[in-house]
Amino acid sequence: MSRRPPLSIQMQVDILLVEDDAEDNTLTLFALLKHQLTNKFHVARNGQEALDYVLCTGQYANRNITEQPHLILLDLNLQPMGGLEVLRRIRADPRTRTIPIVMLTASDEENDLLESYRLGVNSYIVKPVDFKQFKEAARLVAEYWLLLNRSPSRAA
Amino acid sequence: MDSADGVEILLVEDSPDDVELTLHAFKDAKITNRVHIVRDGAEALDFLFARGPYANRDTTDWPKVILLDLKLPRVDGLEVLRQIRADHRTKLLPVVILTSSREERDIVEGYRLGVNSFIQKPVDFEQFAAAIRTLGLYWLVLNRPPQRAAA
Amino acid sequence: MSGQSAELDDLREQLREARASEAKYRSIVENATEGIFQTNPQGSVLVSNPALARMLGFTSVEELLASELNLGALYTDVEQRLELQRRLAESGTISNLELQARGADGRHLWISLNCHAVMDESGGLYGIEGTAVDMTARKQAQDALAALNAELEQRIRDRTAELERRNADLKAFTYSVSHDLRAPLRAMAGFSEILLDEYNVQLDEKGRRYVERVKAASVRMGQLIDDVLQLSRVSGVEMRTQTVDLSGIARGVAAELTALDPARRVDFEIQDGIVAQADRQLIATVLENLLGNAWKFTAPHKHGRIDFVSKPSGPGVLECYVRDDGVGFDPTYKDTLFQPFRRLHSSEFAGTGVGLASVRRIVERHGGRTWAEGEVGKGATFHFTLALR
Repeated sequence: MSRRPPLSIQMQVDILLVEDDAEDNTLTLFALLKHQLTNKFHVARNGQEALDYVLCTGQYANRNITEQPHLILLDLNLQPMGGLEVLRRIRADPRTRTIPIVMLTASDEENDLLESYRLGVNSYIVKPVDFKQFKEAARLVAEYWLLLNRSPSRAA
Repeated sequence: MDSADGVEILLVEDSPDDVELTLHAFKDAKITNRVHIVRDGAEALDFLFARGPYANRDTTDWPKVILLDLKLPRVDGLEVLRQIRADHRTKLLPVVILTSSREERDIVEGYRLGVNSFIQKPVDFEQFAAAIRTLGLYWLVLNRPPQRAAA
Repeated sequence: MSGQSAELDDLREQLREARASEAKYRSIVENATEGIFQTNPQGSVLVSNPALARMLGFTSVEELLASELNLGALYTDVEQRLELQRRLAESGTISNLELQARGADGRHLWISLNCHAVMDESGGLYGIEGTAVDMTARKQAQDALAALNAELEQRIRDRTAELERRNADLKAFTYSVSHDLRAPLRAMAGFSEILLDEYNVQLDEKGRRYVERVKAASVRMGQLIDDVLQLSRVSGVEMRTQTVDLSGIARGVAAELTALDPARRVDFEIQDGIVAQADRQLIATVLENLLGNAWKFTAPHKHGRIDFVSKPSGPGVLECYVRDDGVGFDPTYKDTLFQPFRRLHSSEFAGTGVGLASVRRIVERHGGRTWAEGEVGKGATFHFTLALR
C-alpha cells in the first residue's frame, strides 16, 4: 500500500447529469453514482436547462462560467431539444468547448454515433439492457471520468 | 515483427519500462486486444497515415484507441495529436493522452486540440496497473468507437 | 541765540542717533552669512553685502558693484528667471525659491532666494530686495543621497528579481527531479511485483525475500523524495501572512486523524480561540506534523491523550504546544530531534524524519522558536512560538 496522502487534500468532483424524466434508467445511474462516490451533482431535466447551466444563462445567469463540471452525462434522446443539439451548442462556445462529455444512448444507431463524434463528444456509450451490466457500466464511467481522467476544469 | 493489421490499441510510448508494465497490466486485466507499439511521434504518424515502413498498412482498419505519451522523441505528443485531428481520416479516432507530465498547460492544450481524455501516469506501480486496467476496460469494452471495426 | 543752539544740539543728537542706528544695521548686514541685496526693477544690483559678493564669486562688494552685475545674468536656466518674475508680479514676494546660477568665477551654484518687491509712493515697482542663501552643498548632498537611494532600490529590485528567478528555477528543478526520480521507481516496484507473481515457483524463500526488499527499497525511496520535496517547498514557498485560527485547523487535523483510524481511542483537548499571524498553508503543515506525530506515538497506548494549548509569552508573542502521553523520547536528543532525517524510534514507527525539520523551518520563517520536552515512556511536548500581530 502506498503512502498516505497528505491530510489536507480534498477531492472536488462535479457531474452534470442531463436526464430526461422519461428515462428512469438514468435515475438509477444517478443513484448509483451517488452511492459510490461522494460527488457534487447537478441534474438538468432537459436540454435547455442543461445549456442554461453550462452557459450560465436564464435561471443560471449568476453562475460562474469558469466553474464547470468535470463531466457531463448527456442522454441522446432528450426531448424537445435532442442530445446532439445540446452537444453542438456546448461545443460551439469557446468557454465550454473542452468540458468532457459522454453521450449515453439506448440506441446503437450508427448515424448518431458518427454525428456525436463529429460534434466533439469525448465518449459514446450504449446503455446495456441487462441491469447488472448497466450498473457495472455506470461504475466504470464514474471511476474513469471522475477518478482517473484529468479534466480541464480549474477545480481539478 | 508484428503485423500492423488488426491493431486495436496503438500505444505511443518511448519508455521500454512503461511499455512492458502497460502490456503486463493489460494481460492481468484479461484485455487481449491487439496492441501495436510505436516508440516516437514520427513512427506514430507513419503508422496512422500509412507512410514509410507502414506504407502497406490496411487503411480501412483503425485502432479503437490511441494511447499517447507526450514526451516523445522526434515528434512530440501534442504535435501528433494536432496532426491526427487535422486529417479527415483520423480526426474522430479516440485519443487518450497517457503521460507523466503534471503541467497544467499540457492538459489545457491537449483538450484544446481535441483529445478525448487525459490521464497522468501514477508514479505508484499499483495505481499505475489499476489505471491501465480501468483505461483498457473503458475504451476497449465500454466505449463505442466512431468507426465500424470488424465485430 | 540759545534757540538756534538748542536746535543745532537737537540736530547733532538726531544725527548721532541716526549714525548709531545705521551703524547697528550696517553691522548686521555686513556680517550676515546670507547674501543681502537690493536691485532695481531690471535686476541691476544697487546694494550688496559681503556674503552675497562672496557667494557670487566676487572678492569684494566693490568688485561686484563695479562689474555692474545684473542678477538676471546669473541664471543658468532662463525658465527659472521667468518663473521668478511671474511670481513677483503675482504676489510681490518670493519665498524659498531654489535657483540654479553660475557665479562670476564660473562656479555652479544653487541659491535659495527670499525677496520682495519694493514699491514707490505711486505704487510702481521701485526695486527688489531680499536674501540669498547658498545651498549648493546641501543640494549636492541631496542629489547624492537621491542617487544613492535610487541605486539601492535598483539593486534591491535586481536582487529580488534574481532571487525570484533562482527560486523558480529551484522549484522547477526540484519538481522535475523528484518526478523523474520517481519514474524508475515504478519500474522497480512493477517488475518486482511481476517477478513475485509469475516466477513464484522458480523463486525460493530467499529469492522472494530479496525481491521483497527491492520493492521495499523503492517504496522507501519514493517517501524520501516526497520528504525532500516537502522540505524544499516549506523553505522556498512564498509566505502569505494573515490572521489564522490555529484551533480550527487543529480540530480539522484531529478529525482527519480520527477518521483514518476510527478504532483508536484518543482524546483531543484543543483549546479554543488560538489565533496568530501566519501563513495558513504552512501553519497547517506544522499542526499536521505535530498532531500526526502525537497520534503516531500514542498508538501503543490503549487510550491516548493529545492536547493543543496556548499561553501568552511576552508582548505580541504566542506560545503553543502539542502534548501527548505517548512513548516519549530520551531528552538527551531534544535538539537533534528537529534535524532532517534524524529518527529516534527507528523501525517501530514509520516515517523518514523530516516532519520536525519542516516544523522548525516553518516556525523559523515566521520568526518563532521551536523546542521539545519529553521523557521515555512519559509522553512528549512540542512547543512553538508565533507572532500575535
